[in-house]
This record gives sequence, C-alpha cells and structure tokens, in this order.
Amino acid sequence: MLSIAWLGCNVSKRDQSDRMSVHGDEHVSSSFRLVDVAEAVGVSATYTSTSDGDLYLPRIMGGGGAVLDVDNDGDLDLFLVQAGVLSGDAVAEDSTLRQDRLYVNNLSASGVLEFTVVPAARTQFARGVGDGYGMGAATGDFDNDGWMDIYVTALGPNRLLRNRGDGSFEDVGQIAGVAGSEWSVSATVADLNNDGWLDLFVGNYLLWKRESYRPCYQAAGGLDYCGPDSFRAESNEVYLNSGDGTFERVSEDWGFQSHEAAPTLGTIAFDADGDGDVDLYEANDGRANRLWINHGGWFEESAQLAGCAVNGEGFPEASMGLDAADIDQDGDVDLLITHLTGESHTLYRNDGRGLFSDRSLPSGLGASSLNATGFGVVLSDFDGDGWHDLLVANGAVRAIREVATLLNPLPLEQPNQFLSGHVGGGFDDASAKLGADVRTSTVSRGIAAGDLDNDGDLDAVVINIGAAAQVLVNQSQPTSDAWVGVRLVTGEGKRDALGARVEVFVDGVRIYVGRSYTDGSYASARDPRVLVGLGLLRSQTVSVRVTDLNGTMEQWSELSTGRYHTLVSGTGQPAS
Amino acid sequence: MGTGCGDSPSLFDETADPAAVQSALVPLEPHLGHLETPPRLAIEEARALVRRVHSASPGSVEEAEASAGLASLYFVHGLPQAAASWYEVATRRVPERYDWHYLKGVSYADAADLESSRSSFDTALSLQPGDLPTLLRRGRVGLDVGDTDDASVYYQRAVAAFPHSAAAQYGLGLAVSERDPEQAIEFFSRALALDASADAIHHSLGMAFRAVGDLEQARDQLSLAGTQRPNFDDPLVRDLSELMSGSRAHLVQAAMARSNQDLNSALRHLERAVAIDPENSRALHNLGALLGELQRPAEGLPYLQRAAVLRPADADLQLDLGTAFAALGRLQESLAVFETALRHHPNHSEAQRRRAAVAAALSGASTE
Repeated sequence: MLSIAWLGCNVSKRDQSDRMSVHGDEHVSSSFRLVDVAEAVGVSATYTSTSDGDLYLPRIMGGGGAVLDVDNDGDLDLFLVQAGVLSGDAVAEDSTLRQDRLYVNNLSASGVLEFTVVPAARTQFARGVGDGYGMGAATGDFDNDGWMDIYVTALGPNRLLRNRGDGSFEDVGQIAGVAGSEWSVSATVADLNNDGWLDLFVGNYLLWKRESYRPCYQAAGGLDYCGPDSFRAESNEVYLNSGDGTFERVSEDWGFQSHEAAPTLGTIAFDADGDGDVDLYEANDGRANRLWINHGGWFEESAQLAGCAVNGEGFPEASMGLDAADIDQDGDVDLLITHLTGESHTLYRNDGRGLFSDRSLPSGLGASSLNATGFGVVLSDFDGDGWHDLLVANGAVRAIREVATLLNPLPLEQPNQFLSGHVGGGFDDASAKLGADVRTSTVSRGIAAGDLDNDGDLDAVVINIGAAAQVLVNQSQPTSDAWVGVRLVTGEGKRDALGARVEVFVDGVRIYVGRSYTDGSYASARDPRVLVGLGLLRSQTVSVRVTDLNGTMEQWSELSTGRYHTLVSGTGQPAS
Repeated sequence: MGTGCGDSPSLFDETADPAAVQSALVPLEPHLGHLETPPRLAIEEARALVRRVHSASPGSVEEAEASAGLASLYFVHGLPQAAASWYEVATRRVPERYDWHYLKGVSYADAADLESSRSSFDTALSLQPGDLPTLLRRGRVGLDVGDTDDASVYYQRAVAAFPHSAAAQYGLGLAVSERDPEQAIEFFSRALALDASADAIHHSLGMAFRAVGDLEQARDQLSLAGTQRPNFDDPLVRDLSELMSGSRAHLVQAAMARSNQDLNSALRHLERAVAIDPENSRALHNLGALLGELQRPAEGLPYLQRAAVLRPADADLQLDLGTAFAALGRLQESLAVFETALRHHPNHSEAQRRRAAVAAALSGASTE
C-alpha cells in the first residue's frame, strides 16, 4: 500500500539510484519488435512528391502526420498530410495525390486494429493549385470544445482544420488569422500565456520560389538538391489565441522577430528552466538553434549561454527533428535533435536550471548517427524497460553517391533506426534486432507516435516520401499490468492539458517525470497521453502527481496499472 | 575483372584464410554517372590500370600502387567508402605503407565507419608513432566514439611532441573538458594563444568557464565564438586535392575553402576550375571577384568580362564587374555596367546604390 507522505519529497540522486535498482539495467522486453502492419490494418497512403526533373527542395522536405483521437472514442486516429500541387506543377489527375487523409481507428474490444479512411467529401482536405504544398501537422483543441483540431503546415497557406465533432472539418485558417503564406514545416501547440487557450508557434523554413531555382552541385561536382544556404530564411510566427476563434499575431511584440530569420524545421515546447511555464525551442537547418525562455508575456532568446544553440564544439548543425524528455531521469527535460549525415544527433542534457551540455558522444550517439540524416524522432520508452529509447526516421537530403545507380542516380534512401536506451541515458543501436520493418531503406520524414491499440506500449507511424506510410505496431507483449497511462485534461474536462507535468511514483519512489505534449518529432504530432512502462516493477498501483501550468499540484493515488486513466484537473487531491 | 572487384575474388590472396577473406570489405566500384567527364575518365582509367596490373602480376606491389591510386581518386571525388575499400586492398598487399593506412583511416572516418578508422590510424601510428596529423585524427576518433580517455591518450602524445600545435592543445581540451573543466580552460587558452584566428575555441572555452561557474567569462568567450577550428598541416590529404579534375568540383572546393577563410586555397581551386573549363562562367565570375577582393582588380577584370559575356543578365556578376571597373578608376565603364544591371533588374537596391555612388563620383570629377 502506498502512503501519501512521499509525494512532496525531493527526489535526489539517491532516489535516482533507487530507481535504477528497482528497474534493473536489463532490457525486460527481449521480445520487443516493431512490425509494419499498415496494409493489414487498412492504411495505404503515400506522401507523393512528383518530380519534373528539377531538384526542387520542397519535394524532399515533407511530410508528416498526426495521431489523435478525432472522434473522442478513446483510440487514436491517423491524419496523414499529402504534398499536393507544387506551384507550377501540372495538377495530378489522381485526386488521392491532392488530399490529406484521415483514417478513423475502429479498434475492437479485443484490441484488433482496423482503420477506415474518411471520405474526402466530408473532410475538405483536398488540395488544389494555390492551396499550399503540404508539409506537416500539429494538433490541439484550439476552441476548447472538446474536439481535437489539426493545424496543417505547408509551403503556402497553412490550414487550421476545426473539428466539428461530427467527423467533418472546416478550414478556418484564414478567418482565424493563422494561415500565413510562408513555407512552414513544424508547429507547436501550447498555452504560452497560461490563459487556458492553446496558442501556436509556427516554424518557417525558407523563402522558396520555383522561378528562382538554380542548380546546386555536390563537392564532387554532381548535380544535387540545394542546401538552406542557397535561400533566404523566413521568420517564425507566434499566434496568441484570443478565445473567440481568432488569433493575434504577436511575433514582433514577444521578441520572436528581433533576431535574424533562421530556417526552422523543428519546434517544441517544454519547461527548459524549471520555472513551470512553457518555453520554446526551434531547430534550425545549418544555423544556431534557439531557446526562447518564457518570462510571462515576453520571450528571451537564451540558447547560447544555455548551451543548446550549437553543438558541444560550437558548430551550428543541420537540425531537423527533435524531442524533449527526461532521458537521465533526474527530473528535468533534456533535448534530442536529429541532424545531417556527418553530424551526429545531439543530446543536450539539462542541469535542471536550463543550462544544457552536449552529451551526444558519451551517450553513444556519435558512431550510431553519423552515417544517416535524421528527421522525425521519438524519444520514449518503446520497450517498456523504463528508459527512453529513440526511434529515428532517416532519409538523406543530398544524393548518396556511393549507392547511386543508372536507374536511381540521386538516391536518398536510408534505413530508419531504433536506439535502445539504457541506464543513465545512453543509447545502443538496436535497429538490427528489430528487423526489416524498421530498417527498410526509405526517404522517411515524420514520425507520429502513440499507443494505437491501447495495449500499453508505444506504436508509431512513419511517413515516407514516395513510399507507403508505415504503421509500426509494438509487439512487446508487456506483462499485462507493467504499465500505466494517463490522459490529463483541463478543469472543464474538455481538452488535453498540454504542458502539464506528470510524475509517477511506485512505493514512494519517483520513477518517471514527463508531460503531456503533441509537438516535436518532425512535422508530426504525437499522442498527448502519457504512457509509462514499469519495467521490472510489479506494483499493482501507482500514484501520479500533476502540476499544471499555473503551478497547481494535484495527486491521484492508487491508480491501477495496466490501463489508461483520465485525470481531470481539479478532481485530484491537493499536493505540494 | 568485370564491372567491379567484387566480381573478382582473385584480387585477394587465394591462399589466405577463407574466414579472413570472407570478412574482408569487398572493394567498391560505385556508379560514376554523377561526375563530370574529367574525373569520370580519370577514375575509369585508374580502374583499367588496376585490371591490367592485376592480370599481369596479381598480388604485386604494382597492383597495390594502382589500387591506392584508384582509392585516392575516389577520395577526392567524395566517394570515401569506395576509397577506403581500395586502400584496404592496397594495404593488404603492402602493409608497411604508412600513408595508405593513414588515408584509409581518413576515408573510413569520412564514411562514418569509426571502428575501422580507429584501427587504420592505430596501424599508421605503429608505423610512424610521432606523426601529428595521425595523432590528431586518432584523438578525434576517440572523441567521436565517446571515449574521452582514449582520445586524451593521443592528444597528450600530440601535445608532448608538438606543444606549439593549437590543434593538439584544443583537442586535449575537448578530451578533458567533461571531467576537468579547469584543466580544459588551460588547454583552450593555450590553443587560442597559438592560433587566435581559430575562433571556434572561444565556444569551448566559454562552456568550460560555464562549467566552473564563471558565467561572466563564459558570456564573454561565447560572444567571440566563430566556426574556425585550429588548422593543422595535413600534407597527405592536401596533396590528394591535386588529383581533382572536374571544373565544378574545384568550384565547390573553392567555395568551401572560402567559407573557411582560406582565400589562397580558394584562389588555387578557382584557377584550376577555369583552366579545366574556360567557359565555366561561375568559375570565371568567382575568380574575378576573389582577385578583386585580394586587391588585384586588374587581374580579375578579364575573368569578370568573360563571365559577363556568358551570363549577361546576372545582376550579381554585373555588380562585381562594375565594382572592378570602379576600383581601377574606369568610372564611365563602371556606370555603364551598373546601368546594364539595372536594366535587367530595375529594383536591385545594391545596383542602384553603387550606380548612384559612381554617378556622384563622376559628377564630382566633372565639377572639379
């Protein structure tokens, strides 16, 4: 039986070592596998970027997708972005090449997955000329009506798809004032000013125009895709939700355009400095990344001294995707960013005060990531051993000449990777153990992660350019009760409490610190529920402490394991 | 030999242990369709030479030389995996060639095969224990695999033998910075004293100051940080660049050298690019502009003029041409060029500004 007394205790290094001893450092799921079941479960979608021979950069920078519960039936549905028509291209006759797709999950009571595509007529997802070249998706309930909405990024106007709650959507991007016209790739949905309404941080990439295309060459002289230096970067945008269906653009007022524009590909919100509010981080392609510290009404760019602007040796890298989680289980949020071939992925460890150190190489990320270009990334415990693992979607942006052939002179395909996390926050490349489903060589971009079959382990959807999206189902077969999941919802009980901090305790020992979020990865949105593997712990119950963005703490004790719980703000016991 | 050495197991010693042969890396012959004609022909010629020598005297030193020659061509044309595989063939035939082991290590590192790189540098160091580039690169591999103790060993050897090498001091600072930031501050400071232009060191120094709690010094150093690493002379790699034979390849190498502030190297590459392809307007333009930047506008002008004939509507090129005329005091011609640029791009603000400046200078001259 757990007592309440421990809930207010500080968790120190000693607690951390206790944590290790109760978890053990063995991987508990030796049978862990991720298996692509896309075809079997009815998902057949290819992000298609047609080519007329010219090497236009937008064609290799999408796409993404989202896992979200659009119909509030308790399971995750799929939204997959389609590229559509690049300005100047001929319009494809096949209408499936011109529309985003929504797959509704018909998960059976016995856990059998099956998806059904929602007819285009209901979704308004079609893309015509001038509708923007689709890139990615971000999710959140913008109008607090209890239905998850979708923000779709594009080269051209973005869309805000308001979920009407009846299975149909309407694009309110222009009316709401969040459409923009830039080339947006990733976006973050978070309550930046703690007013109860979800705001929007949009990462913009480059100023690209078809008519200004010029060929670029590799170092050896061959024709290739251009890098970001060939274009002008575009500034990011911050939109503050007014709560009446419109947003106010505050990018200048809040300081986001006081710096030179940088080509942003990844965005994420998390509490970097441990003061309880939401800070923002942008991953920039070939330029220094930025950390925007929230001072309540204005943001200060602080990445350089914080140590997360450039890599440990001071060099800006081609940052693409990112995720943020407590990798070393010391109670704060660390950062992981994927990069170009020749640059290792970067792991920035947080010291709890918002000062980061590049720990990539000691964590084993050097040798394992130097030979791939990483985009989407998920930093979560896939194998249920209590340590965060890494699933990385790879795919080059410059032709891999050594595998070029006459038929494929500009190959970009690379195998995706799974890196198994272990004690202390290090990683081992375990891709080979997972077999062909994970290691298929594709040009992968977004990953949207979530527990699609509600069985207590994390699944993932990988979006590929020119190849079918993969639905990777986790076949860990964990011990039935060796996990717990929580969905945090706001006081009205309507929407996910994005940004709220979650601590999970077993027998008085804190075993997990995390948060509810949908952003990160690359151009994709994840399951906002918090899923915690218990590893070797065999407790029947856990306790959960939740801290909302206003600093209010609540606790729920004796939550049974092996299932999801919906924790509504205001229904727990006060905690300190 | 067919289309690749992979088709010809006889390239390997047939009396060797089959298990060893099995585990050997098969020499690669990548598709060359992406290369310009001169390097493609050079590589095809080198492949043919390997085939000929192999037929005439398999397993000979000559075959090793030919294999290393082919490896070098792959290396300079951005095919490091293929380069490593052919240096592997060469070093099996002639294991005492230090330079091949070294270049194999560099190739493996470029191909992100760090374990093979480490092993190659270890062999190179067993043949030449005091070679600075090998010590530095071997230390770098230690850092890249996350083994700072291993890296320290080689950087310490480098510092002991070459105390005036900024690259060695910097590397040792990186290797010790995690466990002993105070000591790292010393090494980084020495490196900066030896090579003040290596402004990347300021970042490492700043982070080391942050680690010891001196935020003021940390801020100061970080504000000075750039991206120039301490250089070290690497004659084996430098000499290989002479093998580069494509005009575009030299153009790209020039751009890279330029971004590293190595203007002399950039100049050499551009001159080679123009020599290989006198009609390469980009190379002509860049060479002319760089000569102007080096205060040699009279030498640069003919290149810019030739480039302008080939690309008359390029406003940036016209700007550089007009500027070169102006630098030589030929203001009327300068004005005419800026006006040409504005005819093609009426809203080009820089062309407008420079045209106005030249027009003002001309008007001043006529008033006088």
